[in-house]
Amino acid sequence: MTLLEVRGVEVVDPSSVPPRRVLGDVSLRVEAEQRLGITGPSGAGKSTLAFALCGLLPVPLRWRKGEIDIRGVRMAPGDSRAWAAVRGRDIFLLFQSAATALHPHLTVGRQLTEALEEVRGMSRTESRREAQRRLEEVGLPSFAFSAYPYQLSGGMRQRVQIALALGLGCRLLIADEPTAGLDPVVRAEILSLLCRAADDLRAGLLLISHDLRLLRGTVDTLAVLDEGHLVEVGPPGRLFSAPLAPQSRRLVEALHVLERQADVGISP
Amino acid sequence: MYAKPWLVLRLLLRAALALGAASVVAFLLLHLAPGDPASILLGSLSESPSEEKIEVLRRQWGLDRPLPAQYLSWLFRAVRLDLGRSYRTGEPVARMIFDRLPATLELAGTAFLFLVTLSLALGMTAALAGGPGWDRAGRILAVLACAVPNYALGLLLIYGLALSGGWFPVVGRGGPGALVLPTVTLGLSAAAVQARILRALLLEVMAQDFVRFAFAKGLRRRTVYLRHVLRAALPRMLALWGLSGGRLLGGAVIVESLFAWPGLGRLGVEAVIARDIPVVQGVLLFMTSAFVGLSTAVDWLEGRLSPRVADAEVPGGGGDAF
Amino acid sequence: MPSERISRKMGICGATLLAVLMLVGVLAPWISPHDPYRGDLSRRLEPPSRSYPLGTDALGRCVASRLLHATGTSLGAALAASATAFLLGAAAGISAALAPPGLAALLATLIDAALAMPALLLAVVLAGLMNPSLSSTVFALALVGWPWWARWLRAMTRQARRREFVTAAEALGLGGGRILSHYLLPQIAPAAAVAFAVRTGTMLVAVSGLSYLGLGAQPPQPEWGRMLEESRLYLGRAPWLLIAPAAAVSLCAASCQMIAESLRQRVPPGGRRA
Repeated sequence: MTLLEVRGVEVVDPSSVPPRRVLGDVSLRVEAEQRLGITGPSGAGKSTLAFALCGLLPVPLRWRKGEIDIRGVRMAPGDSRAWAAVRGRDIFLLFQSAATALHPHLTVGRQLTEALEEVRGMSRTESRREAQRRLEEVGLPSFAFSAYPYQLSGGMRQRVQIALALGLGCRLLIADEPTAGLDPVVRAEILSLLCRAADDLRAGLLLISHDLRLLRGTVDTLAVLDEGHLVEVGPPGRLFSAPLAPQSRRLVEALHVLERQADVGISP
Repeated sequence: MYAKPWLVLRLLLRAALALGAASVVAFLLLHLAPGDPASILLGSLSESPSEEKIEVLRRQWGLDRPLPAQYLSWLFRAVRLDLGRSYRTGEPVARMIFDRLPATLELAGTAFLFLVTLSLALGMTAALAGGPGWDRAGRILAVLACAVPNYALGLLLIYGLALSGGWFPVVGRGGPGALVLPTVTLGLSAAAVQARILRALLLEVMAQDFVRFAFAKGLRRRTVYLRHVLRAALPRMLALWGLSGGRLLGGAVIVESLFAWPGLGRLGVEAVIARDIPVVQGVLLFMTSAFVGLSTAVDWLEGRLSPRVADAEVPGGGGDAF
Repeated sequence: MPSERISRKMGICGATLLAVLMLVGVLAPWISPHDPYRGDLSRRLEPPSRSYPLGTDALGRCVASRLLHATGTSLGAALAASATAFLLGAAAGISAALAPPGLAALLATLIDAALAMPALLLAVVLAGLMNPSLSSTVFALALVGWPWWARWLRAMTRQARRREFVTAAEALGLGGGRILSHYLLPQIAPAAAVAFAVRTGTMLVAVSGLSYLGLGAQPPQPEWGRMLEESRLYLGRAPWLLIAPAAAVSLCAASCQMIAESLRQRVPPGGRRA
C-alpha cells in the first residue's frame, strides 16, 4: 500500500529577493514497511521537505506546485483541517532537536497523555497506562513520566519522541536527523530503536540524515537531495558503488576519503 | 516543587530589605524635613509654639533620645499599626488608612481587570490575526497611548465625556458610573503597552519548535494555542501583570487626586502638601508593604511556574518604575 | 520591509519633533507673542484669536507664550532628572555587575529592594517635604529613578560579560577598565540609548505630574503640568487651557517614544524586561 506519494512539489521563499526555490519538482513515494533515506548537503532542503510533508512549513515558505497524497488522500496546501486530520494519525514527524520540540513547562507524561487523549480518544486512565507502557518500551526509567524535559538527557528526550510515535500508532514516521548531537553509542541505540518502532507499527520510515554511513545500513532506498532537487534515487548498494549524478558522486567520494583516513588512523 | 528553597529565601530577604529601607526613609522624613521636628509637629497645631510646649513634646515623643533608639521604638509601634495621629485632624493614622483603603482597592482592582482583559484581547488578536497592517496600527496606537500622561488623559475625558456629554459624574466615588473614567484613565496606557508586549511574547512563543511539534502530534489548534502557547507565555505574562499591579497603585497617586477619589493616593498627596508627617509616614509604609508583598508573590509564582527559570536569577521587579 | 521603513520614519519624526521642541524651549523669549507673566485682567479667558493664538488664561495671560516658555522648563527638568538618575544607576549597576561575588550579591539585593518601593509616591513625598520647587522635584525624581537604571545596567553588563569574546579578552589578561570601556560598554550603549529615550519621556511625564499636584514648578512659573492644573477650574468655559498643554506634553512624550520604537527595531532586545 502506498503511504505517501509526492509529485512535482515545489516550495518557494517569497520573502527573499528574487523569490528563492527551496524545493523544486520533488517526487517520491513511500510504501508500507519501506525505509526511504534522504540525504544531501546542508541547506539542500531536507528539513523543509520533512515539514512540507506534514503541512507545517515555517513562515514565510509557501508550497507552490505539485501534489501530496497521504494514504490515498489528496492534500491541499491551505486546508489546515485536512492536515490536522492526518498529523499524528497517519503521519508523524520526529523533530531533529527533541530539546526544543518538547514543551519546557509540561511534564513528559502530560505531553504524551494529552496527545493520546486528543488524537486517539483515550480516557485519562487509558492514556496514562499507555504512556507509561510506551516510555518503558523505549527503555526510559519510570521517573521520566513525571519529569520535565530539561531533566532528561538528549538521548532520553529522543526516546520520548519515539514513545509518542509508538503510542499514536502512526503509519508513516518521518525522522529529521534523529541522531544529531548525540554521541556514537546513543546514536546507534536511537537508530535501532527507531527501526524497531517502525517494524512494530508496520509503518513506513522516511529517514533524513546527512550522514551517509548511518543511512547505508538502515534504509532500503536512498534519495539524494541537492539544492532543492532530487538528483538520484536508488538502492543504497548501487548508489554507493556506482553513483550516477555528480552530486551523489561527490557525497560518496567524501565518505570514501573519510574511510581511507580512518583506515590509516588519521581520523577516528 | 522546582522553586528552590533559596529562591524563596532571596525573595524574602529582598522583601525585608525593601521594607527596612522604606521604614528608615519614612522614619527620617520627620528629621529630613526642614526645621526642628518638634516645631514641625506642633507647627500646624498652634500658631507659635512656646519653648515650654516644644520641650514637653520632645520628651513625650522621645525626640531627645539618639536616632537609632527613636527609630526602633517608632518601628516597634508601627508594626503594631500604631502609626501616631494626624496633626491636622487628630485621627489615628491607621484608621485613616483603613478608611481610605477600600476606595483604592476598588479603583486599582477594576483598572487591573480592565487592563488584563483589554491587553489580552488586543494582544491575542494582533498575534493571531496579525498582518503588517495590524502591526503598524498597533505600534502607532501604543506610542500614542503611552504618550498621553494619565493626568492629561483624565482631564480630557472629564472634558469630553463628563462635562460636554454629561454621561459620567466628574469626580467623587458613588455608583459604578463614577468608576468608569478613573478606571480608563488609570488603565488605558498600560493596557496599550501590555498588548504590544503580549503580542511580541505570543509571536515569540508561537515560533518555537515545541508549538510546531504540538501540531505535528495532531493536536487541535485550540489545544495548541490555549494550552501550549499560553502555558509557555504564562510566567512572563504573570510577571507583566504583577509589574502593572504596582504601576496601578503608583498611578493612583495622581489619578485619585484628579478625580477627587477618596483613596490612599489622594490621602498621601494631601498629607504631603499639608506636611502632615505621621500620615505621610503611614501611607508610605503601607503602600511599600503592598508593593513588596505583590512583587514577592508574583516573582515566587513566576519562579514556580517556569521550572527552567528556577535555576536562574531571582527575577527582579516590583515598584512602579512610574 | 515596510516595518523597517515605518521605523525609520518614526525615528526621523520623533527626533525632528524633539529637536524642534528643544529649539522652541531655547528661543521662547524671542518667539513668544506676549510676556508669559503679565496678564491683562480685562481679557480673561478669551478664546484663541489673532493676537492670542491659543487664547488667554484666568489671569488674562497669553496661553501660547506660557506654553512656549514652559517647553524649556519641562524638557530641561526631565533631561536633568533622567541624566542624574542614569549616572547614579550606572555607578551602582555596573559595580554590582563587576564586583566580586559577595559584594555583587549584596548590591544586587539592595538594588532590587530599592526598586520594590513605590517610586512615584516616594518622589511625591520627597519633593513635597523639601521646599516644593522645580529643582527639588528634579532631585526627588533622580533619587527614585536610579534603581531602575541600576538593575537594567547590571543585567546588561552581566549579559555582555558572558559573551565569549569578553571571556577571551579576560583570559588574555586585559585590565578591568579596558574590558569595560572596549568590550562591555560598546555592547550596552545602543540599547542604553533606547532606554534613555524612553526614560526621559517617562521623566517628563513625571515632572509635569508632580507639578500638576502642586509640588514641582511654582506659580507664576509656566510649566505644562502646572498649566493643566490651572485649566481644571475652567474646563467647561475654556477648553483651550486644557488642550494646549495636554497636546504639548503628549507630543513631547510621543517623540521620545517614537525615537525609542525606531531604535528598538535595530537593537536586539537586551534584558528580559528591558
